[in-house]
Amino acid sequence: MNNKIGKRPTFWLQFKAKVFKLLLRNKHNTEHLTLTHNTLYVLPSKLGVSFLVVTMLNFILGINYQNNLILAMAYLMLVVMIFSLLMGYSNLKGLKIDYKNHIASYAPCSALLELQLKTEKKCQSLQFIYENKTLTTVDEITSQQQIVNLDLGLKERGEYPLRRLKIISKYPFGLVSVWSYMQLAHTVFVYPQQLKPLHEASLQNNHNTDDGLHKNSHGSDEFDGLNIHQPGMNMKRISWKHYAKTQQLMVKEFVNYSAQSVVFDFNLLQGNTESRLQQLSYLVTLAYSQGVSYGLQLEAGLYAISDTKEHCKQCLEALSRFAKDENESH
Amino acid sequence: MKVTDNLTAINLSLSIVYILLLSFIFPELPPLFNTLLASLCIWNLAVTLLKRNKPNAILANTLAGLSLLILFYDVGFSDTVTLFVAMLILSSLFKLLQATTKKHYQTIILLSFFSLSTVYLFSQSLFATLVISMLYILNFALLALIESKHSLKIAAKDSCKLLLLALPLAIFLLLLLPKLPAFWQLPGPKLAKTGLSESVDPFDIAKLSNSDELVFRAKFDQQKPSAPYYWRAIIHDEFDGQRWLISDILKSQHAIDQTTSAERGEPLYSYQIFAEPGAKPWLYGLQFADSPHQDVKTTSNGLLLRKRFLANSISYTAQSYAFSLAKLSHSAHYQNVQLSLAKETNLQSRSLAKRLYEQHNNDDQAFYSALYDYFANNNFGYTLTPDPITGNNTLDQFLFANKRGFCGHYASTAAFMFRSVGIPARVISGYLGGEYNQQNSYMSVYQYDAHAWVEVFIKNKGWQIFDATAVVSPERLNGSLSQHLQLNNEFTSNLSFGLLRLSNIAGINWLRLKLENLDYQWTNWVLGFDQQKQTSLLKELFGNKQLWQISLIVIATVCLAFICYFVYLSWPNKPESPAHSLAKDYLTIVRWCNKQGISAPTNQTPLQFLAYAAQQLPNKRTYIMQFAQLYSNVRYRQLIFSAYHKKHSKYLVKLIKTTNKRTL
Repeated sequence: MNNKIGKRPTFWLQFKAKVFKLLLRNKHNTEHLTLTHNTLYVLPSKLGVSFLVVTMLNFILGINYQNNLILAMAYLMLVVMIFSLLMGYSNLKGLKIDYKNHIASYAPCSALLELQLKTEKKCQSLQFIYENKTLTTVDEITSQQQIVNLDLGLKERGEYPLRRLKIISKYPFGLVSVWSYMQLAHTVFVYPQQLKPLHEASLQNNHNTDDGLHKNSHGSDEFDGLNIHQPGMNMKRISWKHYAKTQQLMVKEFVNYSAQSVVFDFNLLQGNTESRLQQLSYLVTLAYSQGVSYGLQLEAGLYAISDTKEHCKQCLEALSRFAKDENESH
Repeated sequence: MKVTDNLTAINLSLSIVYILLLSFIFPELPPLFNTLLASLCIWNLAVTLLKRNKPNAILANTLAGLSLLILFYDVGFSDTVTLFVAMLILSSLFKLLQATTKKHYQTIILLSFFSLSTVYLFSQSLFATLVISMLYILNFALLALIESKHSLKIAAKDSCKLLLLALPLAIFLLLLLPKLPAFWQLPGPKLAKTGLSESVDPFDIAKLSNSDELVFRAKFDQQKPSAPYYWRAIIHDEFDGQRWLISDILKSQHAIDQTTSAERGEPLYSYQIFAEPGAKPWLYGLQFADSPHQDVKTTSNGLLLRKRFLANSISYTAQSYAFSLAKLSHSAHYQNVQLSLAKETNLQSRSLAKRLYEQHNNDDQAFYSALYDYFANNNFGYTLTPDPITGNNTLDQFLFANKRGFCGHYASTAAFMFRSVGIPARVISGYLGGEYNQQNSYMSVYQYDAHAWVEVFIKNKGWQIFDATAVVSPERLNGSLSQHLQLNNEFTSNLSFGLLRLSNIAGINWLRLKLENLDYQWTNWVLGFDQQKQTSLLKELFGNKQLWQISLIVIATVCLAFICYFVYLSWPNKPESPAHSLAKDYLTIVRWCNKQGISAPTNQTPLQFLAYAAQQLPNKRTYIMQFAQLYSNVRYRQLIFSAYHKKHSKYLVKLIKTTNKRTL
């Protein structure tokens, strides 16, 4: 499928995009799409066109042999075709599709798009098509609300502005395509795959910005204070002195003041671009889960030190966005 | 694009579709090719049922190539329609053998929509139509099944519903949309049907008596004439020593008859004939027949011929006239007395004829009666199973040695004897008699009614029928062969198996006659609905409107039907009624109470309301309280709502409603 598109001249694609833009007139740039007469498109599918050709052949056969039975079959097929046009249209009509969320992922897992479907009647055989790939088929929507998670099929690291999502149904016989589009203004990210760095020592780079304010709990260097012992805590850390005095189990807490914050630097890592990005992805994720403050130094710029969720997301997105090295890619 | 769900069901159904399709087409195809197709069907079934892998592409394509060669060799190119249908089925079966993706299956189903229609080229019986319609429904169900993951049963039910909805519209279109004339002359399929042969060998017609296939039905416009009914089909005017043939001169005379109706005088009878499809163009009529039907040709000898569409049933009206008394033209006279191809044969018969002729003073009419007497008084017998006669002088052997034979023997011999004394004579083959149906007053003629007789030209009297069977076995003249008492045993044992063979049993005979009637209606109303009938129907309905106006009206009506259907589809759904049937029953009671003027204050629970209603209607208190008990048991205590409970609840509702009526 992809090859086929690749072979097509670009001006054709541009022309197609222009025509689509002209025809669709921004009707589909919404997060809350209701399928009605002006957002639904109905045409016979490829199968339907062949079906009509067979109907025509039957008609010719019936006329030329003056055969009532064949003629009746031809008329029957035509009537069924028109009925399925009507049925197909009314099948999707009234369906509400609401954008809920999009979820980034680490390669090679694909980013997800979460939609909510709402309908007041039965709606059958719904397909979601994104970039000519069928993402999922919902056989029947009977409940009033249904959440659909669409695996967008984006497996490589990168930043992907969402393209037009096609919602199509070929109910009831596959003879008719009834479809609509949803154009979301969001961008999904596929983060680089997580790769554990080979040389751990080489990447801990202290940037002398340490002012001793950041402490790493569960450290081992300096005594910080006492806490009440909870069952399951390490027996080694119990302050037996305290116990002898007060009959109360207290635990000694130690902290590290050595490396409270780190900056991960792209240039200090080993391997090619992709490998470095993958290592950075691992490090950023690990640091965030451990609650360590970190910064990220990329060629494009520095991401200041922080430990918030937002910061982690920004860093990972930056890694995803990182330009691909032309020489290295295959 | 792979189909995984329902794959077994789809494969299985398609195999069944093709097996049934084949069962209708196989009489038209040669045995070797039939075996090939049948084994392909079985292979498909086996692959599905035994869950084996489909054959790989190389194997399947090689086999397909070989099969194509067998097709060309075995079916041949002479009958293009059969060749085309055979090729269509063959390719579909091979495609099915290799199909894996959704697209493959869709292609096969599309092809079978066409293949199913082609069955109607060969057979249009009611039974075939019923089976093919079922297969159409199945085919649509399969299309739906490929799109969704329902079970075959649901898909079949849905498509059945849709087709039933579509059928009235299709019939409406078929009836009222003016039919187009055939725009191309397509070759017709050649049917492998038994029927009259263009050359009469005394053994040929005996073969027909094995077949109980219907040939045609006839319905007289007025009172039906009295028996016998000699339905003429073919004239044989040339004898080659063995067989009676159609001479080339006669064939060239099959041009359209030029005599005007004034020359013929008043028609003796007029009738309608519903002829079944046949392998040959010959149609049937009494005496000198003529038909105004556009697809029927009348020859100068009063025979009827079909112009085209041999594989269709045809219904035509015909008039019968008496034969012209005018003298035969010189060439016609010569043609009907010459025996140039059989000069030195059957000398004994010749001399017998000459002797008889001389004995009767060379008088044609006297010779005619004398020959009848000869056959009546010399121990001739009628049989359906004559002994074989071979050699050059078959007529002599029959006339002087065997003396037992079938109509063919008598006709051949008599015509030969007439000719040998110079009286113009010809052998006619056709059908004699027919089974009369009292209920619908039509006559059915079957293949076993086939008959051969002689027409003799006697001066001042015209063509006269000479049928020796009339004196040898007089009973044969009055009805169908099936009603012939004397020959009944011989007849039924000769017949291939069928209902007719069991017609001695009263129940089966009744069933046979019922089916017969049904088939008559089918042929009359459905198959016989041709352009002429449609034109008269349209005239009756629309008066003298132009064809395009009628078309417009019909199409507009159909569009209106589509709009109605669309409105029905998009009509807002009714509010969901409560799922629980007990809740429905409760609502029925509430509605009824409201009608009685008992409206409870809002925001009451059902039990509160029931208690209130019981208070208000003391005479139905017990029933209402019982219902309340049931309601609380089922709805709140989660007791099982059995069929018994359901019945009980309905019963209570009924009681609550009816007791009130009595008090009123």
